[in-house]
Amino acid sequence: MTDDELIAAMQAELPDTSAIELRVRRRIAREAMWRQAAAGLAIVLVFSFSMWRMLRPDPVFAAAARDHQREVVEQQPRRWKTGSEMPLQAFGLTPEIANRFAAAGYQLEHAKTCGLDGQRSLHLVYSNGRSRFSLYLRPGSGSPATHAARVGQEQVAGFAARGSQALLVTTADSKECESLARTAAAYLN
Amino acid sequence: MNFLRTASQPEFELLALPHTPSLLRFAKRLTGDVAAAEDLVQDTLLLAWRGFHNYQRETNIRAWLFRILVNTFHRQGKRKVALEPVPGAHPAQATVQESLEILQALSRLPEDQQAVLLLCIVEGFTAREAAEILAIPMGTVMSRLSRGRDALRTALTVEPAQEKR
Repeated sequence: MTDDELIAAMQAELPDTSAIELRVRRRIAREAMWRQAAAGLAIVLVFSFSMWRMLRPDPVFAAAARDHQREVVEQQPRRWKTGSEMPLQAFGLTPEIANRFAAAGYQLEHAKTCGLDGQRSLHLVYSNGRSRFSLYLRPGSGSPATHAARVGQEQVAGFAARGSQALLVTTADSKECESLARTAAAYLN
Repeated sequence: MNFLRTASQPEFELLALPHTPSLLRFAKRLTGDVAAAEDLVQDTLLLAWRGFHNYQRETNIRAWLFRILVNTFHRQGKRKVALEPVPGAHPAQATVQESLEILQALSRLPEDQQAVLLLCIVEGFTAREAAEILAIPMGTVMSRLSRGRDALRTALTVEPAQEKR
């Protein structure tokens, strides 16, 4: 027997592969369609995640809004300090500076230290008899320009003050919040 | 995210599907069963499609497909169930008897020798390519090829004589 005879014998077996090819083509077409759908879904997910990252509130803003909601709006019991007990010095404030808001009709009610997004912060609460706002001071430099965001019921404005990051939180509208933040920035710096 | 890379469906069909007949011919010898061979070839082609983004265009696609087929066969752990010439053979009338004898003799050879004979002689792969497809050393391919040729030759000279008796 020669190689040619073996080849001839084997090649005499010319199998009909049209059915297999048809099945394979159909499966491939279906898989290709699913792949494209999966690729499309992946793009949508990546885009949505990026948008969410861009649009979600700053974690510090969110923490300040939560804290204000609990401690000022809901008035959950806390150990507030008043008068000379207020821990102002640790954050570079004097009673005189802290009371400058009186000019705008707001009195400093009470203060305390608190943890804000994992950092020890000073929480000052001001009132004009009708409404209250919170002013938080925390170590670190915030953006020097005032920037504001709505977080749930609260309006939060952030700015830099006395080498710290300041956050002003109120349930008032954004215009009032930004106005208060600008005033605070002017009084504190 | 590799699986999301869109392999070109027309390119795959153009490059891979023309090799379906030789894959099926080899699969039939490997499995000894037409239905199992068809399933094996179908699985092979689908696996090849799914891994087509890994296929290096400058390499031999036939060798790549045969390697997938052999690996799939081993992974499925299926053994040969029939040793007779498989149905579907339609050789010219004058050579029917001769071809059947060759195929019968081939079927009686050890599986590893058959695989090497088919790859190297019928499918035209080099010893190196056959070694890569079967994942064995090239020296083993050479020795199986030599032993297979001898065994086939011996079978074909002895068997007809025995049958006449």
